[in-house]
Amino acid sequence: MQAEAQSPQQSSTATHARYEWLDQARGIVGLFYVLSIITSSVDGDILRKLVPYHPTYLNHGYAYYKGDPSIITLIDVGQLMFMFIMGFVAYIAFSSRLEKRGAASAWLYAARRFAGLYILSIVGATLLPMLRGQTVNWNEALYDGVLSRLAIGGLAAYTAVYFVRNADRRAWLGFTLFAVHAFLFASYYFDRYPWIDDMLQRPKFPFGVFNLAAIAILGSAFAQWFAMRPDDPGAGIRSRILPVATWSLVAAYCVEWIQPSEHHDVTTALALLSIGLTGYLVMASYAMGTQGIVVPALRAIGKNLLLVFIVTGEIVDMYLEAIADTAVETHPYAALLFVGLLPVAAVAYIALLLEKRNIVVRL
Amino acid sequence: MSEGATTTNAISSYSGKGKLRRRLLAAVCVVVLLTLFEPVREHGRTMEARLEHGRTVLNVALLWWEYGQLHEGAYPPLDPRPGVLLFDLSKVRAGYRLGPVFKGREKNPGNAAVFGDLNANIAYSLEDLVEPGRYFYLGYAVTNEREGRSLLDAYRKQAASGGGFADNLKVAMGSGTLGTDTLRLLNLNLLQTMASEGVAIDPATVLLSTIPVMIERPAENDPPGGWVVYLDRQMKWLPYPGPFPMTEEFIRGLEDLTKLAAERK
Repeated sequence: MQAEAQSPQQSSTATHARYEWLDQARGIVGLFYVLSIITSSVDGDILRKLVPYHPTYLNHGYAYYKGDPSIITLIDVGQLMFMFIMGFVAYIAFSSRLEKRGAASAWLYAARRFAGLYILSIVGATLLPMLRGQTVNWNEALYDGVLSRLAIGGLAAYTAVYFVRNADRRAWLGFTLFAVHAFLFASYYFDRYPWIDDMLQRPKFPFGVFNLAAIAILGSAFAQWFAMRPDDPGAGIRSRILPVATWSLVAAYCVEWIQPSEHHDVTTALALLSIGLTGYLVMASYAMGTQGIVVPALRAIGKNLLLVFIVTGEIVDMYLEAIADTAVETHPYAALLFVGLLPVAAVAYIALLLEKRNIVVRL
Repeated sequence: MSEGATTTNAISSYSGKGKLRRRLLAAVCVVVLLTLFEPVREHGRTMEARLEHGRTVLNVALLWWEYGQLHEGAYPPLDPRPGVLLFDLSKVRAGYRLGPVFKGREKNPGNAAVFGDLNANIAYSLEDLVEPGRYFYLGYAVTNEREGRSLLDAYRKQAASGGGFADNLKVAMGSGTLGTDTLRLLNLNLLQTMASEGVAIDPATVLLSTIPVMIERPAENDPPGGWVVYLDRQMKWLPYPGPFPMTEEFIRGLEDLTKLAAERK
């Protein structure tokens, strides 16, 4: 780790300040994404006692047990936290364009981001599998894959920022969507993720992206609260961010007793948990930023998160597919080195290299 | 950042009274939400119970599905004992489900599954997967009410004569499987076999998924209805009374047949 004395707002783009502490927060989520891809390559099979020796808390709970209620780990909340930060950033980028360049520029930016992620999603879930001779998954391409979810969630955030200018009302909109999700999910009027539910032959409903969109909307509200008083970011933290994050954690705990968390359908308990956790992550990162505490690798990963995401999802995944089983069977040291450490080091190195050359890949 | 943010988002000043009002409002909102949620949750619980039954039915279906794979598509015959509307259990692999942790005091100590040290329990007791009174296994291919009625009559006659249920059954012309004069034993290759024998079958309308194999007894469930597994192992939950085979007449007929077992005792 490296501590540098600097202002929390170190650099700025043409339209708005770039928050390094926010890049760092994004970097943490990005790092966890890389780790989840690594651990998911060595799931094993618990019932058959094929238990690979890796940190299981850094893998999805469903990798070990597919059932209802689900086993939830830190990783299961990662995509949701990512979505929250995306909503947070969406507010900063969209509202600054709206203010400085007008609605057309802001919407052009939103459309570019949406189209970019959506095209990547379609390419990743249809074209690449087609080239590899695998099955094309249109659901994943259009609304159920990570990139399509991010695209739709981001669009929901931009739309909410534009039409509901008041952050409190926007937060209520997000929480109302959570409640609607909880009702629809409990009703069984729609097909839920677990395959066994297909027996009921219910129509599909995009539960996952529905609550992710609500999370992004809440993320945008948090960003606006943060900017409540430009001269005193602590004001927004004290009056809104801290209480809402804390009550979200309390609510997540309570809702869990009534409707347990499920990762794929992003149930309301899990969504609330992500609001609480990311709220605290944002506060902690901001506090680190004010103290000039920076972890360069995390900051670099955060800056080039989209690239990290694509490199990990495609190249690292292919690498792991080729070597993970052999490495695990060979020796724990080989597994640690070639599966556990090398991909993380490679991703961090690429991110640092890009940062050094001032290259930021964004849509 | 944006000035708009500051104008639209002034910090509320919390007076003691306002704070109390807000808290009361939040409490009321929570109570209203939970009250509204209750009927939805109840409905969800019914669906969960239905799915749980569905899982069991699916596992039972795997037993005769496996038999079919090993016997050129032929499904196990009906139990030869009159009134026992179940496949002949002696002909299929035994199916179990996990019971409570095995303590060594069970009547049949052989019925235990050992999982090593998984879950810190050395072994679980095993319970029979198939509960005989819970399903109707039809044994013969019927696709509508008329053929179903014909099956009920033919079964009764066969039971009275002691002929067993290992062969096709001759019935009146038009009331057999797919309108023929024969009730045919369930077989995955049924349609091909019939077509090769010259029976006109339109593959566009006659599908394996229209031929029921096993029916969950509907009266046991609330609301009444049950799972139906078809020849291709597709499953559908049908209300009772409902479409064939969940019609009142057919289910009542099947219930009456099961009484034959009690009469024989």
